[in-house]
Amino acid sequence: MPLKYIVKDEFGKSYHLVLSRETQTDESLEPMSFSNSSNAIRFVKSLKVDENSWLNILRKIGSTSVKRDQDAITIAIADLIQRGAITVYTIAPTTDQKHMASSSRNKTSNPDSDDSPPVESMPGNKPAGLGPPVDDNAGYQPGAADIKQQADADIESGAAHDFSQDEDGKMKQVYNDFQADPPKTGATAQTLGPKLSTMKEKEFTEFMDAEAAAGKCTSKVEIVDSFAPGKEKQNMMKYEYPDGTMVRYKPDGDLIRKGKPTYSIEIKKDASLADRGGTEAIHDVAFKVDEKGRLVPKWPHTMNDPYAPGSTLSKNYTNAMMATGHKILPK
Amino acid sequence: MKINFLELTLRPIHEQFDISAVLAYLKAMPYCSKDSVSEYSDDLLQTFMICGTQITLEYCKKERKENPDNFPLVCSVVLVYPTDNKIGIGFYGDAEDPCYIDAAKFVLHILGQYKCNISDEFGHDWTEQVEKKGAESLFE
Repeated sequence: MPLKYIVKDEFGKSYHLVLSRETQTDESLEPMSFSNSSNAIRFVKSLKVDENSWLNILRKIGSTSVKRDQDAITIAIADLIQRGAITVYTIAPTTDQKHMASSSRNKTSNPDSDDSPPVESMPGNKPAGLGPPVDDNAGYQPGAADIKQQADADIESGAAHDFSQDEDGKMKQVYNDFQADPPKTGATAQTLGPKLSTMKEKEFTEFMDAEAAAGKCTSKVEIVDSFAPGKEKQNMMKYEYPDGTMVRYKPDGDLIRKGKPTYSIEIKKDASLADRGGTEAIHDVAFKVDEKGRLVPKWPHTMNDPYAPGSTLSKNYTNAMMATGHKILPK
Repeated sequence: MKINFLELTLRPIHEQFDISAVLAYLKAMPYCSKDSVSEYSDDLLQTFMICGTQITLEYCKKERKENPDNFPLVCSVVLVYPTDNKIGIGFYGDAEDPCYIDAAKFVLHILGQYKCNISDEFGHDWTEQVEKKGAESLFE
């Protein structure tokens, strides 16, 4: 017997959420489909369901790893809807009216009884536990383009970041300072992101050298490994702005982009400190910045992955997210 | 495990790597595969993906086939340079990922066989620390 709930959107329209792949036999109910993750997210956001009720639904499905965060919950529910783990049915007016009356006490209620208990106190409501990655058994698989779109939306909303994985408690403050109007840190990065993303290598190096010559930033050469066959070392350029923005440029690229010039824009945790290099280099950076001038996770550890660990969706999401902060410069 | 770098380069100090033994070790590693679309010939460079799980291995093989211009950033990558006498290791998974842990095991295996100069992508030299505190300190 599938678990069913009635929920309402902001306009009072009601829907059935069915937590299984079994189909409804009631012909007055029509299954809804969503062409992309943005539409599904928009739909979930429109529903008048509280956080606890969503978390309860997620637990029933086995998604126990979703954090108590409205954005993360919305994305997780939208994803489950898209993959068919939750089926949404629109309710025809007559049925709708009947259930609206029975569910008026709770934002989310069990439609199988006119005196519906809240979701939290339903009998047999045992957490299902985290099963195998849910997407590997799902009928619907969002493609890489959908995931890329979701990663972009998460960067925009800030849901891309897992602040609980912060190494030293500075990430959240840097994030807030960057988002402030005007920004308290990394303002240069917000303009450099879009500007540098359109440049070829020669234009990039000329631009960055001109920035240093004009005194807007400092420039420093560091000798690092080259991974191009036959080459031992390369000169990495490091440009540091006083507002915490840092640009790294490697003419020979990195280990997986051998021979291709690469750059990254980073936001330091402490704008007043010059990059210390050495063993501290990787820890002194709070975020990377994408081509739209937005903060993106510097590594998977601080990324808020909405998908089951180890699943294909998680890999697509990680792949899409990590690519946003590591850029290749066309020659 | 703690992430202290994303890329390491190992260069033996006193001798040459036994490349055939290194390649044999990589080929014997579980969920490790030689990259089929590396742009260099075998004489110059051999590229391996350390994936840690069967699902990741299949995912990475598929991704490499479909997007040969990019490496999936969910596995560790090992570059073995037969003529340059160096090995590069890229750690792109989270520190708790099997692909990260297996790549760390590979590094510990190599450092157990050879005394190496060790440097990371920021130009930091880890050789002295490893001499004093052991190879495990790279991941602490």
